[in-house]
Amino acid sequence: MKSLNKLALSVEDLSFEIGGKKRIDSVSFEVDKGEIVLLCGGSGSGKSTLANIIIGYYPEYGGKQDVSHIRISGEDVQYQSVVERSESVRTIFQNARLSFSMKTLREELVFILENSRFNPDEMNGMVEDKAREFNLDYLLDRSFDDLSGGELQRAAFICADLVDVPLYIMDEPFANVDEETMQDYIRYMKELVRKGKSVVIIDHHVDRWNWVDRWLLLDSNQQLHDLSLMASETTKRELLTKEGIVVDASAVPKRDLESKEILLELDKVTLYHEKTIRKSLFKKETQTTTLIEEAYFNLNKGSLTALVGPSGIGKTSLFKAILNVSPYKGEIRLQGKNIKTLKPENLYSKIGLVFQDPSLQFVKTNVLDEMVLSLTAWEKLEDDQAETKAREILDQHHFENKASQSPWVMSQGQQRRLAVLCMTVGDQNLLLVDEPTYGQDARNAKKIMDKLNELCRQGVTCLFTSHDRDLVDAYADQVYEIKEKKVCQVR
Amino acid sequence: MIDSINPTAKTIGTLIGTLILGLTFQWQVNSVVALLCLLFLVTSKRTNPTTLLKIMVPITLISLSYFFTGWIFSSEQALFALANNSVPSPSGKDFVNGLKLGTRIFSFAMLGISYSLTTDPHELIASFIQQARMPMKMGYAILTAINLTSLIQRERDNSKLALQVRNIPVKPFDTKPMFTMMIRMVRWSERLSLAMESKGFSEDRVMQMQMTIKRRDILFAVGLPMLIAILGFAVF
Amino acid sequence: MNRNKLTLRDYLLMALISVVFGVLYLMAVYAGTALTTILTPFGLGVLGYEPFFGIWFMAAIITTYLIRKPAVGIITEVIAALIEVMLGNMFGVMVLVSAFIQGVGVEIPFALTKYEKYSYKIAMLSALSAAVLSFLWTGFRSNYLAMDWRIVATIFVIRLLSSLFFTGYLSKRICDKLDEAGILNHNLETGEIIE
Ligand SMILES: Nc1ncnc2c1ncn2[C@@H]1O[C@H](COP(=O)(O)OP(=O)(O)OP(=O)(O)O)[C@@H](O)[C@H]1O
Ligand SMILES: Nc1ncnc2c1ncn2[C@@H]1O[C@H](COP(=O)(O)OP(=O)(O)OP(=O)(O)O)[C@@H](O)[C@H]1O
Ligand SMILES: [Mg+2]
Ligand SMILES: [Mg+2]
Repeated sequence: MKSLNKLALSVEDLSFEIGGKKRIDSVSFEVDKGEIVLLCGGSGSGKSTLANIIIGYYPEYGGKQDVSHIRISGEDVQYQSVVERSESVRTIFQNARLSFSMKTLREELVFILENSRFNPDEMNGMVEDKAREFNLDYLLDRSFDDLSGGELQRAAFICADLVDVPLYIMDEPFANVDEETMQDYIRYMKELVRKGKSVVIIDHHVDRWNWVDRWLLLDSNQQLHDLSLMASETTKRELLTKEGIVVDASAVPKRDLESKEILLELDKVTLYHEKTIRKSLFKKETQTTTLIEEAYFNLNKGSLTALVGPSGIGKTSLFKAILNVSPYKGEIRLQGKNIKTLKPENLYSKIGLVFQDPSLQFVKTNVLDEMVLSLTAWEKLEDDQAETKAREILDQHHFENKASQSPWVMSQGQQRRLAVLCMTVGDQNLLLVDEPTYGQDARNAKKIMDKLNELCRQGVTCLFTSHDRDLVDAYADQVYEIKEKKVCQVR
Repeated sequence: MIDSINPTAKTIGTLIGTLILGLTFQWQVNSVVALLCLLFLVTSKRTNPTTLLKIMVPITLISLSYFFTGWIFSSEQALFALANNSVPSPSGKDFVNGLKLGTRIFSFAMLGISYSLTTDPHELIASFIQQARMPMKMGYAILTAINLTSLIQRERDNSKLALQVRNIPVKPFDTKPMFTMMIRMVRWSERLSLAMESKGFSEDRVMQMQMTIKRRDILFAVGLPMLIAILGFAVF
Repeated sequence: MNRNKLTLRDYLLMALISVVFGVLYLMAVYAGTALTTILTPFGLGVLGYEPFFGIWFMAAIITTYLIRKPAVGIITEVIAALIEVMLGNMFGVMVLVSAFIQGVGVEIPFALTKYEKYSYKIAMLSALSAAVLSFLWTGFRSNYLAMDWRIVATIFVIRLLSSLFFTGYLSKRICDKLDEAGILNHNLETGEIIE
């Protein structure tokens, strides 16, 4: 029996239901002071829900909770609101941009200090000190709109660290972050732990967390397992595989070499963003930020190509340039034709794009209608004919019992698979897929990549971005890297 | 000088001033008020000349259109026109009627922009929270939304593009991208409120920016409406 | 009636939706100005903005539908106006008053049904009352008494039609689809009561 004051977090017999279903079933666990714990589980297993319960979002904002106690640092917080609990727990969320409400990091930090009722005269000094501690003074006055994903994550970290609390929860802090930022971050975390704080991390990439104290696993039956209590490595591995958190890497289907026909050519493409800034009364300045300089590359028909590079380097912007909606110089040719000479409709009928955030593409209120809409957008079909065909496709891809469900409430993994599916019923030649495995568990990631792989075998050309090196190595025929504004082939 | 007026005082002064102006019907008063506003605008450090010019174009246009409507379709003219089909002449009652209507709209607009172009959003919200008892939640919700404007704009373009790449054409007044945007805003509001509250945001907090009411603020809030009233009911 | 206080989330939703509509308002202003330019030589410039008038009530009716608490329509209109002012709207402080009046207009029918009915009928009534109230207010502002009654009547008819289309029909349609998408809060809450 541990003494009370050694515990940072203690949850006893927690059950929770929302949307008419039990999401968490009699879960108990504890986190010690100075301990760092990984919470893993398949997509939609309820990890974020559990985090939201600990910080008090649920049941204040919905759902039904049943618990004997939730204690943070020995204090019972069960009946406290989010605001009250903010004095004992701080969080970093999946989407960093939407966790800032002010315009710049300086304002955001002041906002946090104001919330904690610090003396207004001391705020500026505190902010400066903190920024210096993290070597981020250069970020203080830049607008959040101009920061890259990695910089936003670092900013989110400072915000969490500004006020002294015993417990931190980080929900997929690395979902969109490159290797370098990640290492920085892990250093910050170790520093926190050294100061006696406790950290709960939620992540799909379990491999990078071998160094943490314990792994907790939330399984598909809403039960929590402490993997450190399991006797053998094999039972552990079996459980992780069963829950789809790790998969056998060997099972990637190999393909024959693709044809030599060139589908897409980038000829001396320079990518930039323009922004007009009002300096003062009379001065107006147009700032041009160059993202990529003079890129050349070709994609062969039927190839599966990866585009990698740190966050904010311009991968998504390059995709948009290929769709002619982001400014560029030079020439991009599709099947030998300059895309600037193509009518938008023609261009869009040849190129498909799956967004970083898949839910952007949905417009209907159930999965079947969404599929029907996709089908009828490409060919004239009778209503019932389209419906039959849509059902067929959905059945093939294990959506059969989801046909009448709203795409908006599906888990992210399912949303992304549906988005890919909707994108592929047309007869596009080129498919651009932005971060296909963002926030996915290994099993879902594999399903999506297998689908892309299969499409390429049928002659579609695919270009995808990813921060996940293993995945890129396993699937891509070619890998291009954006580095210091240049695009170079690394494989 | 108008820049340093407390935003709440400025709001009250301009608001009451505008309402009193609404009760006067002389084109002379309208013109004087419009000139006064122009003075405010020119002396302000916050107005950008190009913005000012850009905004003056539609204002002038609208005022002109009211002028013509008031001239050609004045209520007296209408009665008159029923009797004999005369062409409106540039002198006389109808012309003055048009002038009244046109300058009225013009002076309203000038009061409007001399307020909106010279007020800083952050100060306005801080002042409303501190002096006008606007709930903290409301004030910060507005600031947050303004800070996210360019992101929302980008999101909007994306949701249109997302439809187009699915080979679905987007017409003007199409509800599809609108619908997607609404859903995203519901989601964003959930995430943002969680993020803010878990950073300790509540009504009970301090603010670094302190807005105060000084004597000249009261002078403005009382003085501007008084001036307009005197001009309207005593002078002209 | 849901008497719970407005939460931060409610306020944020109102503000975000106002920003989304801000862009639409701007488009409507451009379109209106263009139409005004065309009509001015005929002395009919005052009609320029009327076909788009219903767009100004949309944010209020949509948030009322989404949040379902008292005063939401009015507060949304005021927030939208404040945001417009800060982004440099030309009628400045006056839009605050206009907004308040429009918000009241949108809200009356919902208030009369104790914020419990959200049918097409109520939406249309809301469009009607918003059109009438805003007509009275602009009537004062632009001194409609100085204009030919036929012009004034035309203004009213066009505004009413615009309001019925944008506020009564289009907004309600979007809201119904949002309902179907299953993301709205009140769905969750009623779901819990049934269990
Ligand atoms: N407000 C809600 N209404 C209905 N269902 C919900 C709601 N919130 C979450 N769910 C459901 O609860 C389940 C768990 O969701 P949660 O976001 O906690 O998963 P997760 O483990 O964090 O997944 P991921 O790894 O994809 O982030 C999902 O199936 C989701 O659809
Ligand atoms: N419309 C725009 N206007 C101005 N700047 C932009 C615009 N879109 C993106 N940027 C900026 O361009 C840079 C590259 O953005 P982009 O989204 O292409 O990066 P990315 O490589 O896809 O990053 P991530 O891996 O985080 O998705 C970023 O710094 C971003 O802030
Ligand atoms: Mg999650
Ligand atoms: Mg990207």
